[in-house]
Amino acid sequence: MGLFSALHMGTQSLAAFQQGIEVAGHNLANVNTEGYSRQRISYVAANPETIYTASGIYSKGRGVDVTNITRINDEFLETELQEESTNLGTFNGQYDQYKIIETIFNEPSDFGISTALDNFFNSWERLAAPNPSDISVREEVKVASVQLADRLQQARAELTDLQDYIDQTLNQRVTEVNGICHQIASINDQIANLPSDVEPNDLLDKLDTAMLSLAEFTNFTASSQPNGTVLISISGSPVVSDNQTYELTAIRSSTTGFYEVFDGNNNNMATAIKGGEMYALLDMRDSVIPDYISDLDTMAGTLITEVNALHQSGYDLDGNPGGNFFEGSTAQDISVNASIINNPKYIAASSSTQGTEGDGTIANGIFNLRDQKLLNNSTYTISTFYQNTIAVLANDAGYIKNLSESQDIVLSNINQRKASVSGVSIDEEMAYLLQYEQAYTASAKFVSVVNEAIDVMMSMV
Amino acid sequence: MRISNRYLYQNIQNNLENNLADIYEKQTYINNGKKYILPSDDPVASVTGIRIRENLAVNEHYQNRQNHIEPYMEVASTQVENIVSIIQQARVDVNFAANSTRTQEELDTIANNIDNYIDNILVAANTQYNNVHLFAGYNTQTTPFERSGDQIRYYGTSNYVTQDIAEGIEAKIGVPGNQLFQTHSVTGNIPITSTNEILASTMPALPAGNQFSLTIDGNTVNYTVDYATESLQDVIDKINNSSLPVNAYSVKQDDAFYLAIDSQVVGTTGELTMEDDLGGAGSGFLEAVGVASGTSIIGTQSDFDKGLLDTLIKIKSDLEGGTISTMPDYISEIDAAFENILSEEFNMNSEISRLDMVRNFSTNEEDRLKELLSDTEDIDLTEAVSDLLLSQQAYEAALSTSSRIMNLSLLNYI
Repeated sequence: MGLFSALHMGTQSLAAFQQGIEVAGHNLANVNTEGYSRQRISYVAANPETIYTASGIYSKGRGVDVTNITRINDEFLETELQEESTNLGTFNGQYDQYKIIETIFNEPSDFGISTALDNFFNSWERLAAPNPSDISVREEVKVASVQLADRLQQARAELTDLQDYIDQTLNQRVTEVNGICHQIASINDQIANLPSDVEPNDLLDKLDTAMLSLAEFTNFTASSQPNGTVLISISGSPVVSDNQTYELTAIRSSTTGFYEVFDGNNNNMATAIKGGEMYALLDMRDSVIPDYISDLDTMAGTLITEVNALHQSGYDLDGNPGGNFFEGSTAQDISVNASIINNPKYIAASSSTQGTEGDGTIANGIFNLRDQKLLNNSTYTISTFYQNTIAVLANDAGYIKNLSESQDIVLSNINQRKASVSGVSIDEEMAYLLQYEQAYTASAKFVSVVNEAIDVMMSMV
Repeated sequence: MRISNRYLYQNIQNNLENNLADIYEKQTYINNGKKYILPSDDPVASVTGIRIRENLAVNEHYQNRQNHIEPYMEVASTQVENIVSIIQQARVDVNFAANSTRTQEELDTIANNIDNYIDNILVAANTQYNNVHLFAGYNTQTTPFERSGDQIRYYGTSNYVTQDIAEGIEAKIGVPGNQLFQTHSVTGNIPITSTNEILASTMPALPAGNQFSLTIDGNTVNYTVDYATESLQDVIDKINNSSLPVNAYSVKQDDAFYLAIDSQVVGTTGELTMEDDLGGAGSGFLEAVGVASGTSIIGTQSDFDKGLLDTLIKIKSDLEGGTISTMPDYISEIDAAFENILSEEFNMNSEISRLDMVRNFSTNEEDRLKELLSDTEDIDLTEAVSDLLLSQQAYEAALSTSSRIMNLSLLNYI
């Protein structure tokens, strides 16, 4: 080896340490970048040169080589992060809607359905005696009944509005999921186009970030392909393969009027989506809210049937048999009979035509419905049935709230573990920077020494 | 463990967020004065809260009812007391008249007094409070008693007006006038399934005959029933629309109906006599509904022979005619009627004292429920504020230590 090859070795090490400085700089620059995994440069001693001399054969080092630049990350943590994000997406999605349902019922308060029910029953008893002919008390019954009917209708309408809102959100989420899938497909494309021996560090970070956003919306499995790309599928339905996206579509069902999600092959995804916000939306829209709507309907239906049956057996102030007190059959259409609203003398408070002005037997009977176990195979009164609905709501919402809060902690723990493994430490990078800088200075010094040696040699000529 | 900057910042950020959320939550509860805002914050307490609120609403309602009906009961009781003292005076007067040395002039004065007593009793019995007649049964908007000469009519019904004053406890408001002064009333004991469907399908057995008569105070009216076209209500209307001073109606019991006929003439002169099966077919309408068979009453009838007003009118006319030998008999009739009214007065007073008792119970219950609600829903302010202070201190400590750690870097020393 001659002096020129020593000069070459010096320049090679200068380049290697410059790369080291660049990697440290790249790390420092991305200290705050979401999803960035720190990168490490690996050096090895360059292949040695074999030297043959009279005294024997020996090998001599030829400086340093950069073998690769790798990202430091833990695949297991990445998968865990995606799974737990899906769970958080589910719980948060459910809890967000539960909070709205709780405000719709507005209990416990002085303005909820239970207060309206109390007022309704109490007004009937005020009418029962001592003066059922008193038109002002009849007005009270009318007002309390209209308020109860309004409150039931309003709560039910707000629940169906919430279903519509969830439906719209679901449609938006489908668009967002498709957007993320396109991103993943385009990253796949870039990865596939790289030479096979290049580590696509930053692209892999981007891929992880995109999959993490996807995880919030839906469950999926990602499998790595030999060409470095990932195949994403939701319960077996592929959504991204290489640079191809198989878009999900939201189509309105002709029976329910709500959006249904289909995969690229037009399979209904109702059971395929098992986690994430999309699952939460489907579950709340199709299972949870309909239960509360049906509870309200059952309650209103029983109230209508029972009150009407009694009212029809009674007689109004004119001595005519009572008609329907409530119109409608569910919480959706419950209302007080229009003729009673126009003139409360048509309230049939008496049990016979004789003494309609003082006989409040029917009014008292309607008041007594309050304590009768009319619902759930004669185990609940109307108000305990409603209280039970609220209890179920409170417990379910409380349970989901706890899940969502603890899931938040689980996720932030994993995130911290990821930050611990893959996050950039400025101190560390500064130390590397100093290390590489000094090595660079030393190599530069080496080059200048070799250069001087060459000068000396040349002057000998 | 490797500490990267992201790890450090994430950790600090999470901890600060948690501290702040904790402070915010505690502060919200203090602002609202409640242990929970949404039911999911504390499912058990919120459901208990709803139940207690319902109980409180029921309790408040009953207390309103108790306060509302008390004056009705008080006024009714005072009027019965007035009637009692009038009767006592009348008895003294009758005793005074029973002495054989009285002149006709004196007897006339006493007769005049008795006449006034009758009027005064009727004024008391026609009392209304807050537009409600207290002695008219269900006919609360009708003046119950009307006197024309020596005949007194009752236009009320035989029902007690009642009001629930607590769960399952009813209080009677006033007394039906025919209970106080007794009119004749007969109620059938054979049920009819409906009042507005034709009798052919609602009576248990169709009788051969269809004519009957009712007689009061010497007036008789005949009636014919058409089983194929008329309902019980049609027969009732027929009786009420005839000129006879009676009030017919149906009594509902256990989903079946019974025919009832009340005489509107007060006292013994108001005795109802009836004759069934006028055509002699063997069985008639009244027998088939359990009211009368032939000329004898088989239904349930009231004790109308203790009629006080009737006795007073008879005393008045005897005194005007100078007859005093009948007075001792009348005194015992007055005593019998007096006893009846006294027992009604006693019943009314015991209803009032029961109302007081129930009200005391309701007030205690209210206090207990309010305390329970407060225990369930309301925040313990001392505890909550000291908790908040603790959280605040934790937050401040976290802020100060975090800011020190965040400034540390190798950069400061290079």
